[in-house]
Amino acid sequence: MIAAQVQGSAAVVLASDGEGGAALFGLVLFAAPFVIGWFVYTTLYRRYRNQNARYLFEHTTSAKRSNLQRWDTFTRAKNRQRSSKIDGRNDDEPLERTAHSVVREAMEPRQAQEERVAQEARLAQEAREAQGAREGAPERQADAPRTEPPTPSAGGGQQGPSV
Amino acid sequence: MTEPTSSPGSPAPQPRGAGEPPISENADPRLIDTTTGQAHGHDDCPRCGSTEVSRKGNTMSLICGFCRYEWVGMRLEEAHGLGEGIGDLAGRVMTSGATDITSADTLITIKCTGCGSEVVVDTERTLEARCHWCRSILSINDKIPNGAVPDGILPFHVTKQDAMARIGEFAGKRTFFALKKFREEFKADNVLGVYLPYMTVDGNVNARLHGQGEVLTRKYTVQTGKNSRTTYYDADVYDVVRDFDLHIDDLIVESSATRSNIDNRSNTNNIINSLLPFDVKNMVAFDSNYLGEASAEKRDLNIDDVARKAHSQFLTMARESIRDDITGYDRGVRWTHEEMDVHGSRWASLFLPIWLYSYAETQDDGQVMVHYIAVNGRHGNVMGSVPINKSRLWGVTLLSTALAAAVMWPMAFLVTVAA
Repeated sequence: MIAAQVQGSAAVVLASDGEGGAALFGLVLFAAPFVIGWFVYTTLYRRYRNQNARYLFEHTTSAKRSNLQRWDTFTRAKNRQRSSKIDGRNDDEPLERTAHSVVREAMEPRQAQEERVAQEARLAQEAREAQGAREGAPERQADAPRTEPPTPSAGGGQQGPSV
Repeated sequence: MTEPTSSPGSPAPQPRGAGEPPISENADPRLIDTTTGQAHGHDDCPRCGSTEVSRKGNTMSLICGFCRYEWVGMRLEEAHGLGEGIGDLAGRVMTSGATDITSADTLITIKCTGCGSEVVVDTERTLEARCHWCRSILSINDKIPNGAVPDGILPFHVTKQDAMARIGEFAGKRTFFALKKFREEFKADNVLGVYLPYMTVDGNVNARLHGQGEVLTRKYTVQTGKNSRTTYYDADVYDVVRDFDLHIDDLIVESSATRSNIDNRSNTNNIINSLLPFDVKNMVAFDSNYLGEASAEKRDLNIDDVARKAHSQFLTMARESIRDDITGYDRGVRWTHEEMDVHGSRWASLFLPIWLYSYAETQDDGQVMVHYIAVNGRHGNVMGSVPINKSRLWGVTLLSTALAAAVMWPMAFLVTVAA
């Protein structure tokens, strides 16, 4: 495989004429033994240690998808890019988490959820009714302006409950 | 098959755990009662009362050594509908074997029903003990709060001889670079059968992914210098959003703290992890008679401890499951936001069978690294880590580098000079 890569690189470099191409080809030939050494080491190490072996749960676990909704909105054209792939492509690396990754878990059973939702709706209805009652009530008369400052014995302006 | 016999005065034996879940009045909707109703102690034949019960070969059947009565443990999936209604799951639902561990006691004292003596079972290592007075086999038969008894178990299907052969073949293909001491000490006979604790989790989730995708509109190459060309790509950029429900069935997660710590620098637990999955649909209600001579490791993680990992794996599965829908973006998609609502999950605990060969290597820094070669006890696939003779590996690496250099560097010299 490495030999094929080296040959491929050589073919590309030889295709371009001139001193620059020859120098680059020489550089490739100079570096190739180190690449081969690295390849030999990692291949053998991996074969013995199997450090990359893992449970491929994303392929072997049954997962049924449903209710798919799609939104695809054109935003702009992006021209004269040097890369053949989108920058930061990660759709083929599902193990990597995105910068914004959130999981919310419902801890309570459905019955409790339904009870909570029903209670919230009930409280909201009560609040609406109370609001309606307040709006239906006659407006309060504005307090008459005070003519005397509050006495210090009144506790800094706070009135305690009358007994 | 012989008719059931019972001694006068003793209660009529009732077949237990053979197809019918126990009737319980469980009011907690979050709990699926998988208790078998069996008492700890004598774990005897439902027909004749003999304690000489064992597995029948590699089948799922148990057989009485006295009256030859055979029966199969209750299949949990069918009995409790564990594979159904994933879309209706709401909140966290768990089986009684997956509830939180509330006791750290590993020593359980059982009163022998044969002779009345008290026998201690160390549930850290085993769930059975033989009464040293009357030789009866005493078992932990139902859930105990220290996590030692799971809901279900998948008995071994691969025999020890088969496992030994597979491990021997695996190691035999990796001898040249193996540590010399390992080569000398390796004996496949040392393989041990062990039941490791896991949890299965079903998930009723909704995933929402947001990112950008690009569609190639034009590809062209232009001359950028005398001898150089550059290829450019024009693309349309889209905002991409996908929102979907996912019903996940039987994701398996480790429930042992030791085994779930996967760190390639300090252990080889990834080897055991790589043996997953198992055919958990076939698991039967736990019965200690299935254990046989295999040892069992106690669960020491609760659902709260493993839920984060499971949710992360749910997200990964969501990302994987949508890949077939975004193939139109031929320059790929960059996901920037991923959100998941786990509406409901269902948890069960179980023992899974693994044949294990281990070898402790003392490394140069004095740390001990335990290497495993393991065989899936159900379908027999094997994976392992073999300690490496690094000096030999480096020697071959340098040799191959030198050989390549001997060929290529003169070529490089000639090419440069010729230019």
